[in-house]
Amino acid sequence: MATSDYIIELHQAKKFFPIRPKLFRRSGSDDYLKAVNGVSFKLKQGESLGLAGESGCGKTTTGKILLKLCAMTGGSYFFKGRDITTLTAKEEIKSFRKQAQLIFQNPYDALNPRFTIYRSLLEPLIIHNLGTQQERRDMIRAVMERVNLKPAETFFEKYPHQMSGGQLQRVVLARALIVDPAFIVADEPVSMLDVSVRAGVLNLMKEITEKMDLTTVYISHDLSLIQYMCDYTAIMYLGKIVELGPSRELIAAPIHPYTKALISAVPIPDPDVANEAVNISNNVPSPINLPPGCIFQDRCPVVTQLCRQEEPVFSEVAAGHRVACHQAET
Amino acid sequence: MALLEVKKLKVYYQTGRGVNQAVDGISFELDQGSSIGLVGESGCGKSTTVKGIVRVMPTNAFIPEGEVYFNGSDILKSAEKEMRQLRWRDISIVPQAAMDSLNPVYTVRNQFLEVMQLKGDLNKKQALVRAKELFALVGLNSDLLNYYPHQFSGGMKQRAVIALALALNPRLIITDEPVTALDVIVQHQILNELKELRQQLGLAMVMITHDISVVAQTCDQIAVMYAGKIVEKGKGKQVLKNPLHPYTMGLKNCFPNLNQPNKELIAIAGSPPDLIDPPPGCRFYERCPFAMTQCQLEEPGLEELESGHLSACFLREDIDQYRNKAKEVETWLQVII
Repeated sequence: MATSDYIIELHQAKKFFPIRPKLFRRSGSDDYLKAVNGVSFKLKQGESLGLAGESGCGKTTTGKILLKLCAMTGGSYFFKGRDITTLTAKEEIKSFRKQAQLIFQNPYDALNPRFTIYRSLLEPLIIHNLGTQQERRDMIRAVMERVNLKPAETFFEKYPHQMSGGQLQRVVLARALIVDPAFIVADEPVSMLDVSVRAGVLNLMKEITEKMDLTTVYISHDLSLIQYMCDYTAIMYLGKIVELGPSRELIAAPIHPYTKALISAVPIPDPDVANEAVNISNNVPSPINLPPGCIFQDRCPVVTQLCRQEEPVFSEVAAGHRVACHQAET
Repeated sequence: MALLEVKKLKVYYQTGRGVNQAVDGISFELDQGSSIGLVGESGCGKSTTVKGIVRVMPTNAFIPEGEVYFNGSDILKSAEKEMRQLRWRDISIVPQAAMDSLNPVYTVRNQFLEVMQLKGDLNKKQALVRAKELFALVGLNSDLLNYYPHQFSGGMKQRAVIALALALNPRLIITDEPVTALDVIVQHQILNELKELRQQLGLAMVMITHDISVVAQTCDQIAVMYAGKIVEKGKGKQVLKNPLHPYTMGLKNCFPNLNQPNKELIAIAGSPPDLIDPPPGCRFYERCPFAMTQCQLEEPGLEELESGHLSACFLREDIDQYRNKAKEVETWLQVII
């Protein structure tokens, strides 16, 4: 098996969805919705990346690609140095699934309402055939204590409806952790929770991923949350990453005009800060028939002739900080 | 005279387990052209409050007590027929999930015309002119009037619903989480538009939201609600800069701030009390790091500690000291639930 420094190596990942069902598709037609259109990044063990962008920018689809929940249209994906796209044997896929786990957005929907919490946490152990009867009980107890559901026994026989949103999200987290994964994708992990419990869940996730040295990808539209949770931030727009860099650097000194607009629009909980947003038009073009050139040209305040003809290359401007913009290169 | 004056309003729900005291004695005033943000977590009674004000409530809700003065007269006492005259003409609502409040089987134009013909006594021609005006006001192209709601994006729907609420020149607009489901860029534009429209039209606004950053940018006054009560009220700056109530201090800790990357988030342990059988003392007692014996027995009233800044808490002196303590994680870890 090939070895690599990186846990995740995604190169030019693409996912296109055909617009017409097969029967009605014209041959050679290029009517595809390009949900993810050439996304590349690498993550080492223990690193965390936040995917941010407006709805429809392809952040969730990228998350699905990372978990092999949808087949890529193009590009390559190596996980721990292994080509994931070519995995076909059931056992191999299962072993990948054990290592790459998902945390869902809505904990109220993510758990089977007819399963007790114990049963929900037992399920992954059964599927992956881990532990003996007694070991399993200990594993469940340990993982519940790890997510601060203490004493664990008091929750064993509870059903999801008997628990609060914050507790349920902890169960969802526990269910992902129980199989001892190396990589976690969290899709809007706290957007369904109340503000006062959000902080608790976020801090817990941060603590656990650091302690277990987990590689994580957070998907969120909330940049302040991503800055709080992630080492790196990637800003997505129409299926592409337009800027990727260390979170604090990217937020303090954004380079791409889209990143600038996005950051300036985030409300600040401080009435003294005048929120003077960079004004860009609010219409995202359809990801179906994209014009040549830069994908952001229609909304860009600093667009030039070059931007309408040639697509900017996603290139490095500082260590670990890459931008796809013609203006950034000069 | 204030445009809207809510006095000790209570709105309860009759449930199978007993009476839920969702809103329990709320008072606030709103002047012509000014705005107030009702902030709090889900279940704190902020939506129920405005449902009570306009009396658009589910059938199991009732108002045991309280007065709501609009323009000097107590509208809680007015008959349903009079209320119908008031709604939309004088007080209009942008409901929660406004994006889903347009009828999918009619064009947007039809829905505008319906409101204006039924409620505004305009003829079709006048109504159409007004609809175009309104669309221009919220920054939408008037050609879009002929579209169906599903052809609109989220931001466009939100704008259309705001335009619809403004159709009959109301004096008060109530917005319930107006930007929650929208992307930040659109969110920012809508908030700015609301602000401009209010100035332009001299509109008063009650905004309900769980997000203190949204009210920080838009409202003159803030009322923080917890478990059916207002726990703190004041000018936006006062409440957010110098909170007096421990709950507000805690709430501030829960929000990440893009400008403060080193700020640590601190959660408030526990959850709000059951409002069917609320505790006798302060409703925040269980989760409060500064709770005293008195707090468990007696309920603190809303008292003015600074000019125009009220807090319902027995901590009335040396609040600076508590405010500093509230910024530390250890303080909140002491609370054991």
